[in-house]
Amino acid sequence: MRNPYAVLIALVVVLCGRHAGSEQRFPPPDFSPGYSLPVTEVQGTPARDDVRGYIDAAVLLAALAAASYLALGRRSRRGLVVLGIGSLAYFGFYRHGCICPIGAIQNVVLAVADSGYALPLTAAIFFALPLLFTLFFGRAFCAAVCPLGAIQDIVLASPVAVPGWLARALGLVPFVYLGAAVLLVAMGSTFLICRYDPFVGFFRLSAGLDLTIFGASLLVIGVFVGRPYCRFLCPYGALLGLVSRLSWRRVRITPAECIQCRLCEDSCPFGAITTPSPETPPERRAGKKALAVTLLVLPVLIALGALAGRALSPAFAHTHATIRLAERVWLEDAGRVDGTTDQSDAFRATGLSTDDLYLAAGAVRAGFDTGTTLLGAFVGLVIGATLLRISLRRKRTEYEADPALCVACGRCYRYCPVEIDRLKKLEQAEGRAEQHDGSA
Amino acid sequence: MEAHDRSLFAAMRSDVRAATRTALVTGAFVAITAAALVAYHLKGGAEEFIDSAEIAAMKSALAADPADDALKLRIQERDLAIREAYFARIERLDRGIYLLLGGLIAFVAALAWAASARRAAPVPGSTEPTAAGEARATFSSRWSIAALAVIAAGLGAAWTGRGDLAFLDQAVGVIEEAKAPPVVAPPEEVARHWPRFRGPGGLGVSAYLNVPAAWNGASGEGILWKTEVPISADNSPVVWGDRVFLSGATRTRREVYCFDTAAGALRWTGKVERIPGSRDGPEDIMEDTGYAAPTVATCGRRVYAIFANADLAAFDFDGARVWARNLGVPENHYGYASSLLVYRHLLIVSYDQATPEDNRSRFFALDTRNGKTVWEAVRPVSASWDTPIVITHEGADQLITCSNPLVIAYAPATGAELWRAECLNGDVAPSPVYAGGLVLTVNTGAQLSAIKPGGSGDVTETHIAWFAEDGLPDIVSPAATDDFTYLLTTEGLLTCYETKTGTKAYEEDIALMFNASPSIAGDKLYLISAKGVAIVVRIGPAYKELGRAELGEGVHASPAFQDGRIYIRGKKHLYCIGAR
Repeated sequence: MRNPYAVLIALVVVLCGRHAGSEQRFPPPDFSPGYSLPVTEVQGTPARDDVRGYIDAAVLLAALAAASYLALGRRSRRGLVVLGIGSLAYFGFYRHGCICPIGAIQNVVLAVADSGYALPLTAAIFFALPLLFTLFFGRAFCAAVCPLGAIQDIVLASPVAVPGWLARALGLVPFVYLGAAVLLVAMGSTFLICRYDPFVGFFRLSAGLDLTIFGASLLVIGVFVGRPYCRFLCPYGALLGLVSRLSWRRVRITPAECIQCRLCEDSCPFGAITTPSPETPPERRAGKKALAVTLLVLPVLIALGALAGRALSPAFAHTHATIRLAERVWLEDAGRVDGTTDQSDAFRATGLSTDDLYLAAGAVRAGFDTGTTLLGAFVGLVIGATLLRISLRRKRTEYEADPALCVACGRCYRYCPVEIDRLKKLEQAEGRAEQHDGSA
Repeated sequence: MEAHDRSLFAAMRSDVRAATRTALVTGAFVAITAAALVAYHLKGGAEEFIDSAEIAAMKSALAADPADDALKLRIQERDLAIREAYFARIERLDRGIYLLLGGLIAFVAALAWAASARRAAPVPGSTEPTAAGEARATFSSRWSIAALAVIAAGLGAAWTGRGDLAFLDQAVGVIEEAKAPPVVAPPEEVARHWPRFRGPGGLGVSAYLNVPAAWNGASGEGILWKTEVPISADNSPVVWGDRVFLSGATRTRREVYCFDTAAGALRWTGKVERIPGSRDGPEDIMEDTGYAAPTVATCGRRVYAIFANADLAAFDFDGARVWARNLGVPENHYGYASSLLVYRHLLIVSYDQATPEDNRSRFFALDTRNGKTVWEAVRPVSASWDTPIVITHEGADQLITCSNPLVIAYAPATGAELWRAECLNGDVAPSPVYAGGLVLTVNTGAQLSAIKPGGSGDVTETHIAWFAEDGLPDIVSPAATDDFTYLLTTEGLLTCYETKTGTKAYEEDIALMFNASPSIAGDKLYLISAKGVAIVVRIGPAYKELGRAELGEGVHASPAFQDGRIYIRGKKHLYCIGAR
């Protein structure tokens, strides 16, 4: 019964991506003689929230509260699954995956970078609320509110453990993605996260061929590898992982004291369960030496990252429309290309000078020079910090969920005999209460 | 494991059967829905909307009878029906997909439920965490991160190649250069080179006296090298340092050439193409004029070329095009032929055309750095084919222009008119020269006029020092020293006047055809015939031929003189003449 997964996913992908690879270009209708097409007027109205946006925010708040309760209070995996399906239905298929907290990162960054952009209140709420809940209750958003997480959670049927060393390395990718997305938004290039959202095409039943393949691949991989997008790509997950380290309450595998039975050791498909420290501690001197070396290497990594980032500036800059237009106009003027494009024609029709265009492009490039240097330094810092974290040893006495990696899915609860015992007692207590109520 | 624990896990498996049944039901639903969707999808229909043969046929019929209102109505109705059917189909497909997705989610959930229920009871891990194991994990993690960083660096390096912004450096460089004070070669440096048609000042006078006077194209005597020019044209060589520049064009191709002075190797070819507003042609051009009659000009850092279709381009000395523009094809019945010249940082373009009444003749001064127009003078003259000169009179520079009927002097920096004299007529091709403090202009059907370059307004009555009417050329420009002025007609009549007085010194029929303008090197006058025979004449009050040299190839272009060398463009080859 497990094998049909891939076939089914491929099937739905083909059907969902019915628009994939084709851009519908409708010929204009044959209007009555004398009919003239109205001129489209673009009005510079500021972004505004409508009632639906507030409803979305309210649903998000309710879903986060429910997820927190189900993960930490009720400790109900089944409840989380039901809530996840509901979130997938509402935020995914009903609201077409927009707005979502992952994409809201970009709205917030744009509001900071562009004074002319008014941040919609809904976007601010969607960005901040999951972070706030994470600060108090761990990654409740990932547990059962995020439609992207939910769709991956549903398809996870035959989990295969990703080796820890590989998971640690791939765990850096979301930070790179986050940095790149922030840079591109701050520079006014593109909303990278939305543009490459792998599942929004499914939610909307419309996607390009490349994204359809991307999303389908993630789902197929997700049958065996738990939540590949959440763990190895999601930029918001990177933020939530950081914040969750500070969370007030977080998921515990056992509701009471860990009895070290080791039954939960392989229960987490996301590799979020950390084992107790070995009884024989490693040599302290070697550990200190590794830590010292890592501390010394950290500034080097930051510097190398900055240099590498700077080298990538031209490539990043080409994501900006002004750079691309300037290049096209220059190529046309230099006689290096044939013909013109709609964009270059539109530019020339404005009567603006090419000098202004080139200077604007030059300013954009200067911004990218700085931005990519900072991005590279950030990546270097992340790598260094990860190496530092690896080098640091912390005494652990029981099996526990790594707060940064745990998505509060609740799978591990039922592996804990203490939890099962608790549930048994709870059932007995509820049974007694019902009997009491009945006799009363 | 305790017995009660095993019973608990057994309880977890108790609903396997229910999960399996649910999976079977939902799976059947998914399969049926999917099959229906696939069948519906394969049935097609969208293409009918995009390329309806029926609509196309009706439109063809309407094209044959545009007044058929009934057909128009039928087209509209059918168009609407097809659109409605299309969007209804899309809506049905969407509903089906949602059904499929819902079923699929239920199916997958049932499968997961079944898988969970069937999962064996967990057993404790077989190995205890050890310090060695932890160290190994740490080691592996470090190296995996390093490996990922290396892979990322490799991908980044590959991606870097896609983002070349050299164009922006060049574009912004041009802008920055235009903002900075222009870099202008000092006059003494310009005088050492041959930067334009007829050399420094456009007077056809060599700064070097050690130029050869004898050569033979057939035997190779005195020929340092000769190189075939890719496209033949009549424009003249321009020389700066170790580079010789020419241009060539056909109706559809326009090129600028840079040759090496050492051995004549073609260093680069600059393609003049893909200029906004440019088009090939013109069609009705005179064969003798060709598509590249104007001689290029250089400022010492760039070379500028203009062609019959008014494509104008600037190349740097390495052959990279810096800027280009099209001025619009001039109305010129023989074809555009005026050469370019550089004054400080301005590229002067003579753009006379049509008739005075048409009011279309212009002079442009373009910024050599970016090709933008600095000033534009509207001229009440007809089309002309000569090349202006810049002279310095009483400390002020004057741009001397000739056309029918006016000689007009402008301030070259601003385009302000200084004076004008009405002394020309017909199709003016000979360029003016300046000698002995006099501007000398000439054209067949008019007169040789010696104008004192001063005054303002119309100086026809006040500043023409003398004029003469013998030996007036129609193509060839005059050559002059402070003492003697030479006119050469196309048919080979050489007439010498005293520059100061206009007194005719002599007249000599050389009996050869000439297109190239005469040049002066020291006390020698160089005349090169259309068949490539060079006649060297002593400058003086009487005709004295010093010798003849045959190139063995036709010549319409004027020669360029450098230190010990003469560069001559033949009909096919570029020659460098000099001593080895």
